[in-house]
Amino acid sequence: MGQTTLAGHVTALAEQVFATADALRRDAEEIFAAVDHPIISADLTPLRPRVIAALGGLITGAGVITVPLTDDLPGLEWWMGTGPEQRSRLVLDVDPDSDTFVDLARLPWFAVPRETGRRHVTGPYVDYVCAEEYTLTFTVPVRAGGEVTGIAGADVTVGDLERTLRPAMRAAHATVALVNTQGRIIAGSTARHVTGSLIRDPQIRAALGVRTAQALPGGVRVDPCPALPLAVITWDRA
Amino acid sequence: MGTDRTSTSARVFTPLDPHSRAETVVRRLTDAITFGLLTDAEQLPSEADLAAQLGVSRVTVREALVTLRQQNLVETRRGRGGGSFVRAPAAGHAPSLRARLAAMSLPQLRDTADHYAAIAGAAARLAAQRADTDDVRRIREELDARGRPLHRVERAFHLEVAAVAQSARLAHEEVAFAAELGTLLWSPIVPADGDAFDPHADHTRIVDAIAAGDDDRARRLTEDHVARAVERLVNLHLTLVDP
Repeated sequence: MGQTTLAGHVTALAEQVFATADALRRDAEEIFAAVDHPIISADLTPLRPRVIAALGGLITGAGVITVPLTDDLPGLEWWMGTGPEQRSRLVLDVDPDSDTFVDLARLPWFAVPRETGRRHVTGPYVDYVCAEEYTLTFTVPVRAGGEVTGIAGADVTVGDLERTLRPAMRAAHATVALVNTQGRIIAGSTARHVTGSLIRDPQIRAALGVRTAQALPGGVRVDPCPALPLAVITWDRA
Repeated sequence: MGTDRTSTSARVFTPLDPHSRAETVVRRLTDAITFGLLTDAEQLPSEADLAAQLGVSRVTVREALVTLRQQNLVETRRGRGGGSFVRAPAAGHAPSLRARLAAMSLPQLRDTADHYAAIAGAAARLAAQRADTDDVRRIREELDARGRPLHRVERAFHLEVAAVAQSARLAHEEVAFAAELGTLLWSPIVPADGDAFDPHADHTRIVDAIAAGDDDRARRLTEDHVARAVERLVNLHLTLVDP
């Protein structure tokens, strides 16, 4: 079955991105565990070479961001760009009185892992804080002293993911779309299922809330990607 | 309209309260100082000139200057080289506002505003097509945060709408516009034209249209919203900057 292959392909890619985020999480937690003073933002600096090494391939942004530490600044070691020449460090305006203030608590890729203590896939969304790209962000909670103090994560642009999935989508030999659990299309095989649009069909939307594969009337299949808020929808050509 | 004409016109033509006129002058000058249209240490026109330019009596101007002195926004020096001088609060972005508005020609202002109306209108239209209930909630949250200056509410609101439109390019344009003209366009110094300008009410109507999936209406409301702000700014450009 083509759609199962596609869901499996997506799951493998997503788990690979999460593995990168998780490695950065482990590095950050080791750093936090090793310091013998209250943690300050500069303690995260040794993480830099590892963050930069994580960039490349599908990953266009990665790093660790924490809540404000004992020096009132967030730990922030987040880098963007795949090649050395486009590489840049994320700078966040953390002054609440500034026009360009970034309230981390309102950004799902930060807030959700921090509040739930669980990993999260944000998007597809317009990442106007970082790279101004249409992006998926994979984040995991980072702990210090048993508390979630921030996140480690990695970005994949929707364009790159779509390009990577194209052969598997063609191989499905049906109309297919990769969507998130809100029914937002990440990649689709026809112009009617264009990236960013929303699946409005109430039956399909209801099926996305159920985390098992389902066959719906009208030749529609919904295949969730295991342990991820993503699913593949297949419409039989018949 | 013909009935009761005498009593209606009687109310219209009752004398204005001189105190409210002094307050209006105070508010106008306070805003101008706060938003940098009048810069620190700048000399104000003489009492007589101010009275003539603002269309009020010298007594009204004098009363306003007393208030401004009490608020430490104006300093009056006697003798040769004396007069009233602006004492601007140490605000970061204020002087550049004045410089930018002064440097801008009306055609340039109109063109920038047209470009922006196209961006914001298109974003609202796409947002209405693509928003789910979570997205609508996020946009409404941007409006809930009270006490922020209008230009910041506008930036956050329109940026969120562009994000809900799922467009990185439109979001990019929103950020660029907020930096280029946003602070000026939504500056509270610009005199509001009666009830015609209520940006908060506009926002509510725009989100309602987005929530209803009414893309044409969301676009039109957004274009009107920008047009009203631009009209205000053009009026300010004509009356406050030009002598």
